[in-house]
Amino acid sequence: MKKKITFYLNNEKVVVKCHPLKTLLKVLREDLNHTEVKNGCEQGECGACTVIIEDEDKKSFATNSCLVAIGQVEGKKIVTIKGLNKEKELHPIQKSFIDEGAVQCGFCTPGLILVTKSLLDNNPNPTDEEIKYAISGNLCRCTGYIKIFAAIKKAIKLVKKIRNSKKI
Amino acid sequence: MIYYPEYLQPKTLEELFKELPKNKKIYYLAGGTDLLNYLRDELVDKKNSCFVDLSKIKELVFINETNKNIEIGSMVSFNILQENNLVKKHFPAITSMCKTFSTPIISNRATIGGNIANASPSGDSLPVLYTLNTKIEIKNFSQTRIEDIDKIFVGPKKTNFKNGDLITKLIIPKQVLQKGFSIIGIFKKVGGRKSHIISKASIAISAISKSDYIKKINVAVGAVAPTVLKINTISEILNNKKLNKKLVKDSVEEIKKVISPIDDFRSTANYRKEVVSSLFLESISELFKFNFYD
Amino acid sequence: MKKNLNVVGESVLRNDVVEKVLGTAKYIDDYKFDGMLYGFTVRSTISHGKIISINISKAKKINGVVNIFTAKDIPGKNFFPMILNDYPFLAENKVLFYGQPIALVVATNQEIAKEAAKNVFIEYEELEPVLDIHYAMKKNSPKIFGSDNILRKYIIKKGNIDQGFKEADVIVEDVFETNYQVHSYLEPNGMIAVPQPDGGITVYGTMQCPFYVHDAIANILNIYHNKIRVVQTTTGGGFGGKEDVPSLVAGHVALLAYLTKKPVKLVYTREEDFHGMSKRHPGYIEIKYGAKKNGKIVAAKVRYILDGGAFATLSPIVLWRGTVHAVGPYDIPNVLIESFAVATNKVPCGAFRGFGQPQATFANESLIDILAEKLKISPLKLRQINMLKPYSRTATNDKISNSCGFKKVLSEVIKKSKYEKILSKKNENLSTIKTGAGLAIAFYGVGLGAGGKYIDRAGAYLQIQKDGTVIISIGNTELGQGVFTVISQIASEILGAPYEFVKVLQPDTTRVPDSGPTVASRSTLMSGNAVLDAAKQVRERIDTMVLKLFNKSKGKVYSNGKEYFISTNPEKKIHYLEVIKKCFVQRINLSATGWYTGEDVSFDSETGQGKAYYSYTFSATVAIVKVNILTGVVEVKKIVSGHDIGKAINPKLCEAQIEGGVIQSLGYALTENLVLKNGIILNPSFAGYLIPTSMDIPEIIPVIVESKYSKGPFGAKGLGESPMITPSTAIANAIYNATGFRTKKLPVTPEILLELKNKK
Repeated sequence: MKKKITFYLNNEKVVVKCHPLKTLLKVLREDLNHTEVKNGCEQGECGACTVIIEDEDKKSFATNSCLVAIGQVEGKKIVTIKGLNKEKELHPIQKSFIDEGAVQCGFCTPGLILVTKSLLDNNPNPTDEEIKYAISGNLCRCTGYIKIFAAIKKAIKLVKKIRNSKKI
Repeated sequence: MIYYPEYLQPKTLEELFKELPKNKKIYYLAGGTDLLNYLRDELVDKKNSCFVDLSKIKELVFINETNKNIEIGSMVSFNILQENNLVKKHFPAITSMCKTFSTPIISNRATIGGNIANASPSGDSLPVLYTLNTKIEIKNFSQTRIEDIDKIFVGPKKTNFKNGDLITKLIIPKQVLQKGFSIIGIFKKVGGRKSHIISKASIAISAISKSDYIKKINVAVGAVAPTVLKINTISEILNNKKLNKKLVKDSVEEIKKVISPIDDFRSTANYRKEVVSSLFLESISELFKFNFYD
Repeated sequence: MKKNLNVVGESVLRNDVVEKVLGTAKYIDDYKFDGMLYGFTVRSTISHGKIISINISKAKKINGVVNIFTAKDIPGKNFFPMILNDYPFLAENKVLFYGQPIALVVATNQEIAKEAAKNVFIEYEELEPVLDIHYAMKKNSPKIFGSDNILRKYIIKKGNIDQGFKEADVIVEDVFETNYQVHSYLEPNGMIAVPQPDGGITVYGTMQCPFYVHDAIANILNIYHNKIRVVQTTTGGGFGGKEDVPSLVAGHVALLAYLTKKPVKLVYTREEDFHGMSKRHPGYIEIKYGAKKNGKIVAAKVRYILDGGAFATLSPIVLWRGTVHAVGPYDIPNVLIESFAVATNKVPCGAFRGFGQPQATFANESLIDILAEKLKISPLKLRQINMLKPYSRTATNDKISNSCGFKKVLSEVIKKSKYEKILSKKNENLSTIKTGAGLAIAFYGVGLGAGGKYIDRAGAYLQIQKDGTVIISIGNTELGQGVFTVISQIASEILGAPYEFVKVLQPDTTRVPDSGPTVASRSTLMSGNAVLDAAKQVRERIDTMVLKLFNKSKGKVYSNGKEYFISTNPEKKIHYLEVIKKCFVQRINLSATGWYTGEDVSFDSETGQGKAYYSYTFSATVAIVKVNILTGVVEVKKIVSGHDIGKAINPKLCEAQIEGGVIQSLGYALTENLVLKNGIILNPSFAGYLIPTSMDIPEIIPVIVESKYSKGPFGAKGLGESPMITPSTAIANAIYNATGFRTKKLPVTPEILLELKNKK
């Protein structure tokens, strides 16, 4: 029972024809070749497949794409890591992750950057505890998270600086 | 050869019950954070099942105040619940529970209705809802019924629901407060690490109190019996009393009497038995700002 | 004063991560080839038994199934080459563990392959499984390996053990046990094989050791090495888990591609990876120390047993490393160590960061604290009295060189953690939260040592291109640890080429000679030295050109990282690019191959005496914990971990290695608990097997000490594994200090702690 499902992927309209219970992760990777969304456990435990979903009332949140049925995203906007740098320039969060040495094997990185983006979109001034909590669904086995915390703190500053400069 | 279950995506409850097939096992797809795992793990008879996606049914997403109650739609997600001011004001135990519920990226999607329907004895929301005397509205075709939350579970992952029963809302009574009294509440759990865990044991307490005088208290425990348990005998011991160490000790004995924990890969029966008492002591101490440990 | 190094020793940014933050880096599951098929593995559902029949008829009828293969379809040899060569690619007539591969399905997509695998029916005659090491070693147990279930044993004899204990004033002894640990790399194992027109095969995949994979494919297909190409794709973590077993995955997928003549992908689900791939060995350690009243340890005896699982694979050398280090980093005159790797009907264990040392360290570093208490000497003092220093002798009678910054490591860690202050602080009786401090120290033999000396070599190829950019091929793999960056820094430093110009290519067996495995903290040392060798050859030719441009016939040429100059006229400089341009015009060869073999090492199998490793790193860790004695829950507040690694080529990468290792060790100590019943893993998922999350992270202070190793590149020894060895035991010792509960099992679960409390 395949169905036509329409949604927006990194601001582009896409139409896929598949069973509505196929997971968003599988549709992104298999049908749309968006392999930047990683499959680490397919169980909602590791966060490697994190994407940002924006729903009809403009509320956006990060979530595990392995636990979303594609039917549930009909009409919604999905952002993957590739949606962060349309202008060929690194997003400040991406830059911070490099500068602070927060990337090792890199498999968790797209998910962690997206969860950071979602955090900063909803809460521009998170406390240390809020940062720790925000990324607690995204496992990293290489870094011990220390440099990831540092990268997020740096990103907060960078994002703020850019926002302020845009205001002027 | 590779089956998916049948799939429906109604936009209203009316449409839902119009389309609902009668010859298939109905699974309501709420947040999907448990159900899609069951599907992946082949725990669902795909050929003979129908998944009903609730994500388009707006009438299931609300938090309203009525004269006597707060009503919460079954499709409200945990992150929304956590931020809601009505909930914060009336049911601090719910807010406390939301803060430790799963991970932020899961609580963005997981719903209160889903957590109830999943019927896990370690489901975090259940002990809290037990302490609040929550009632559940269930619809099935043209019928609507309301049940006490502690009446719907019959075993681990088992409810008394009939095929097609849909949780539509939670009805939680507001408490009438006399002057000087306030509502307090807490949820605590223990697992294999600090967060992102399935509880080895959990506890919820909701109370109306003034300093160390308890007007009314409810205590419920999770993951230490086939279903969540509300321990009414503790209410009997503590209601209308000034709290003291002896009463707390007696309450702990009541917990030990009713629980029947098991050994599994997560923990041992002995540990669960002991730790749930510890969680009670910690919770009571934290709520009443006094050390009741020894 | 001008510093004499331009880029080595600097925390330059990694040069392999832009693609990782952009999401363009391709891991194995991100590749697709035209007409690609998908494999799935049919696995044993029992722990021990004979295979009576394999029925594939129902599975084969499934629409989309291309074929199903079993052991009889293997054209070559049915084992992957690894020490004892006992692990078959596919089970023939018996299965020895739950999850052992029996057959392979190949289909048009993964879902179909998986569905078909479920429809392959295997009839077994079940046999009694051997699940316990002690039972396995008994005469009356079923034998699943040789005549005694012993995969390997070692003995180390130094001095006179009986005499030693006679001389001792105080003797302590105890038994310690450690559980499995699962690597939990975020990217599961997987490979793709692509048949080539010449009948050969190219295999891509996530792996630590392309040359092991190379050998494995030659074995299963019975084709020549020059028809096989193995390319490592961007790898999402390894930690030892992608050392030996990728050979199995590669063998399987190569077989499928070879037989179907189509590209085939075989990527594991997380659950399969849990059941089928290697683990850290559970350890059982009986240990005994004898000491004089003044604290001098005069005798140490260890009986060390590793649970090897169903096949030997790397167990012999994991055991060897553990054995060599088993009495701890102490100078002890009389030593007896006996060790065994034992076969059981459980998942085969293999390499995991630390390689047999964390288990033994838990025993010796716990017992040292017990001894200290008995002697009424502080745990710190007791360690200081006995620890290795330059020219002291290890258990194998190996002389420690002067590349030994142990004392400094320990003093820095003690100072930065305020260990002594917290250790002696009394906890308030009433409080249910108890604070404590714990210390553990270790040494670590860098590289493969005498146990693997015949494969301890590395090659490199280096080439400067027309535009001055540099490409390098090495045989060691980038797993996330940052070896490409370190190699680039070394090459940049020697060549005088700007760091940004250097690129290390993805490891490919056709580009460099067999350089051994990427394990044993050996990449910086081995590949670093090989690249050093290649770069020096090229630099010599560059220097000749520079001198020519300065109209000199001889003299020393210097570089500031982008320009060359000579000492007699340091103001005048010639840009790197200009020199390279000249070299091209003059047809100078700006490429070279490099080679390095480790220093000679030896080991007498009768006595265990000899030079076990050519160099050692030294480490010390202090952990500060808070224990909730009501719930048994431990919270680690702070970890200070120090390591003498010779030279930090890139200090920030070194910090990252320490932080990551510390947290893996924290998980090993507290949260990671694999549970088996009848040989079957009950929690084969990240929901059941809990690695630390961001919420479990303490403050970490990494400490780096540089006591140079004369043969290392710029004095470097190695770092990867050292941070995984001591933190877990430091945590266990801290828990004792906080609560008085001495835990003799890892992980220290709240269940164990409350049990200990109730016993008191």
